[in-house]
Amino acid sequence: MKKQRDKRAILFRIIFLLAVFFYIICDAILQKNTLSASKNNQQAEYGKLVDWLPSSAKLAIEYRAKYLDLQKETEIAKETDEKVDALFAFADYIKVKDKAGSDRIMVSIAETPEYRNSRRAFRALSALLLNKDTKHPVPIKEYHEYISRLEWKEDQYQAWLAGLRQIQRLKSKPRVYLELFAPLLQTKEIYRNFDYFYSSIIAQAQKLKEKETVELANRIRDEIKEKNITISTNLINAKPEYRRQYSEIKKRIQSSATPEEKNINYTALATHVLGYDNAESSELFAYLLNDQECRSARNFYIPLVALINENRVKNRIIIEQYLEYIAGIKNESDKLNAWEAGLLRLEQLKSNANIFVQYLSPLLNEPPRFFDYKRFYVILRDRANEAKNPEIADKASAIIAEMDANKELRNLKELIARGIIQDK
Amino acid sequence: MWAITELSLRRMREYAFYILVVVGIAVCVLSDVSDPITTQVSQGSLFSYALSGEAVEVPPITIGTGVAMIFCILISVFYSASEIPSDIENGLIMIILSKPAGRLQYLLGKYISTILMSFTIFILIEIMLIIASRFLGISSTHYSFELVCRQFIPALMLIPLITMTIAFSTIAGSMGAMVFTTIYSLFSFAVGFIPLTVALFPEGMFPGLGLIIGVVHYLFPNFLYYYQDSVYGLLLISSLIVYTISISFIFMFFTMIRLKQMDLSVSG
Repeated sequence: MKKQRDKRAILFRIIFLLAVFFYIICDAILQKNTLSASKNNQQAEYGKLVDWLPSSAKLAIEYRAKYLDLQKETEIAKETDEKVDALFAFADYIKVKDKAGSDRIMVSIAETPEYRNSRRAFRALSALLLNKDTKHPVPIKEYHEYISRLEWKEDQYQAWLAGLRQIQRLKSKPRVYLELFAPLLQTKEIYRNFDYFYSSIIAQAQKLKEKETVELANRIRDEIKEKNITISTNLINAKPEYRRQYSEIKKRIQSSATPEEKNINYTALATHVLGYDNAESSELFAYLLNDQECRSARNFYIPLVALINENRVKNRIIIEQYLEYIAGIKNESDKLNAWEAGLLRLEQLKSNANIFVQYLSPLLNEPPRFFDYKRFYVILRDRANEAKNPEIADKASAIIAEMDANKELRNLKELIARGIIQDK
Repeated sequence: MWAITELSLRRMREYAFYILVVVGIAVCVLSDVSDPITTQVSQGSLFSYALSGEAVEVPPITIGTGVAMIFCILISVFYSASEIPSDIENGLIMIILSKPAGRLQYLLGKYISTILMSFTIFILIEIMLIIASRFLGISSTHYSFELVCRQFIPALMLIPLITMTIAFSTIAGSMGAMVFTTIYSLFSFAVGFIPLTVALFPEGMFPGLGLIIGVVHYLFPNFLYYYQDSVYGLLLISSLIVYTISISFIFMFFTMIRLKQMDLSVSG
């Protein structure tokens, strides 16, 4: 009896231990699933997460979380521009609660040559501009030197704007404004964005009754109006990597030896700047369109494809023009690539079914010589059905059936590999 | 064991019990016109993170089920809290244990009866929700087979809740068990949020808390799992079932120890 009871007790303990074991294992699986929500949402709004707490506790938690986030960003930033951005963001965030700490970071940006030469240092330098509360006040001359070293117009604009904001915040005298903007009267920046600075010069010069300065600034403003060129907001707000990539593509352009390379690299740059500087993009495309060598290169479809229905550039082309170009291609491999590229472009543009039908319909008029074209007919059939165009859908279906039945039809790549077709 | 189960079930023939069930059904049917429970919480709140888990497309837990769960939780807590203490008080436990039935059988009988009763009410409410949706057109929810099956996942929570309440009733009596269960459930609910909160905030936000919570959270069953949208699919559902059974066993173990230590002849 006692033995039986002992056995039962042991069994019961084993069951208990097993239950604990399974409890821990299952909890780990279920917990992992719960925590995956946090991984998918790295940018959680801390305020919202602790909305249910009293506002003082909520603010303290929110501050600490953001503090840690920004601090981490300063640690993980690898490129100098990103590092400077992260350092400034961190210093700016803590400036109310830790004024000395914030200043230490700002000064470190101004005093570290690597950071100081960054195109993103203007925010820290402008915060130190004529600032009496810092260990390293930046005089106007030093700020001018920094701006003169900036390569890109959008950076210069931002630096001037940050400088203006700083002297406005310091409630500086009119003379300080004129001192700060003095270089602008010499360099004559003809972008509309700079008009604000010239109007500020006029306002301050009028206070000091400096007629010559007023007249000069007015003349520049007239010129700005006449030329009507604007640095786009996208360009001003572009992330540091935008210009890094820009420079890399520029280097590739410079080392382009063949027209084929030019077509690739110029198009890469033209599409990279699209939306940031459409005028520059148009110029780059215009170069390719006007260059006879590039036009006759085998991959001229690359710039053409990028121009299909592209409203942001002056050289936009329509589908008919592109189809005309394809019709003139003699090399089968190039022709196939051009069809593929055009199709990809329409997919990127999220074109409607009718546009796809318009683009692919010419294929119905020529017998398919390669099996690779089947994909186009399938898309044509599906899109025609979508566009409620049964006539074209039926024709495409008939060709697909014909292609499937034709056992001799081969892929182009296969024929090239077997030497039946020369890819020259 | 089955005789004990039957005996306990017979004792549930009370008018108040049936009134409660009818009221429960009515409230659930009427509340089911609202959006599913997971869309009741705003995006970005801790609650929404806790209920979502991994982003997966699954049938939601309807608000009707949510309200049904409240009723079932209340009923199961009330019954499981009073079953053993009342048996001790009126001496029934001594009569039962004098028959060829051990404490384990007695305990299992109590568990099974309360679980059966709770699930019967839940199923009854679900049937009424389906009828209201399909035939009466009251509810905005369309109850597909998949959606109906999905509604049973939160109901699994009743099993650990019942075992937990019975365990507390052997320590603190009927009223004490209700109070303990409520407090312990609230703690469990709160602790369930902590690992997620720690994970959502940056590293170093709560120094040392991660480790403490890693240990402490095992002392509280996580009821959030039963309401998460993402607990779907073979692995997660089977994990949840095993999790439920494990918790129930752990509480059962403690209840058994307690029953052995108790002087069952003392009434009151």
